[in-house]
Amino acid sequence: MKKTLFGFVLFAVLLAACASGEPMHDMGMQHDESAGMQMDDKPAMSAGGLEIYGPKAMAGKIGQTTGGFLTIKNTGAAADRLLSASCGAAMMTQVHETVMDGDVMKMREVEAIEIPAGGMVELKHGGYHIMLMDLKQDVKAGETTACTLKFENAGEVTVELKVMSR
Amino acid sequence: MNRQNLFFVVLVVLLIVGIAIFQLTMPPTLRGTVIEPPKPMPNFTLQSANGPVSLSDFRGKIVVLYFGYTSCPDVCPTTLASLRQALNDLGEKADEVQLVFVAVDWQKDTPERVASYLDAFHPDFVGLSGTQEQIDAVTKDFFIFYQINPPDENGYYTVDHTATMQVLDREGRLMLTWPYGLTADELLDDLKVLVRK
Repeated sequence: MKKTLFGFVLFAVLLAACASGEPMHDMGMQHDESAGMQMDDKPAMSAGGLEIYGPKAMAGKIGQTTGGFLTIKNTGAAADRLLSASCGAAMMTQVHETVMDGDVMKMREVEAIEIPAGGMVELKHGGYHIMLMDLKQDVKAGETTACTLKFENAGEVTVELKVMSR
Repeated sequence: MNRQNLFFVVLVVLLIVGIAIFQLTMPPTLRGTVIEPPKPMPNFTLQSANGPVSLSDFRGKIVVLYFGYTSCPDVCPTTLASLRQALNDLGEKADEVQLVFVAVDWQKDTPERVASYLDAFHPDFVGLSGTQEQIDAVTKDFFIFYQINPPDENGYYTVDHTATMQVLDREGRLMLTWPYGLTADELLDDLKVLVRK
């Protein structure tokens, strides 16, 4: 009698463990992959009070369009504005913003991006980004590709974007 | 064993069995939006780089349907890369899941261009193109909004489109939608549940 009971309890415990195993596996151990852009310790480039961190572009083939991403930090006392960008690998470079309108993704060219004094602006997935349109050549992972950013105050700043695989 | 002990053991057993039954009968929570009951969807045939492909070709597989365009540098690649990551983590069972990408930019996205774009993500992803009439019909059938915006002075344009992924069950019925922005881990959680069915 005792043995049967014990066996039954064991069976029930195992059953419960099996059943709860899958749906509950991720409770309490959510790892966050959306931590955003990795901040490098040192700026890749600094000019006129602006510091540029983590410049990168996604790989693309000739004729394709790809995105460039970076973070601009303004250490100066006055605001600055990113007016345009120009990348040698692309026929056309524009600065765009991705906007979600409900479930609909929209991209629009932006006139300028203001970087407030002491502030920071991230060009990242789902927000502002540099559009390298109609690539003249393949842009391969592991290489770098140069883009010149034009600022209202800091003038022209050339950065090397590290190309990442898609 | 005295009566009191027996009573206690029985109580514990009942509790555990109760929890087990509750866990087994409760539908698992999904990250996406569940369509209940699953909605039968019309078939379509569009052009891939390897010839015409119909949605019905994938009966028996779970189909993830995504509408985008190849000049999309931001949202589309993020979505495709997340799904690729989820499929890689899913392991062998990933064979039961097929991504179908429909290019809504009928002006520019030829089957070859779409294939070259998708190739950067996953060799098994299928990319499809169509004429304006075909794309209009398919997007309407699948509740997808898209709009090719007027070109700028240099002829460049953007395309607005619904960024939601749609999941069809093995009988081709719409059963789940994934909003834009789910992480690879969240997609993986749902895929694990879907392939068990």
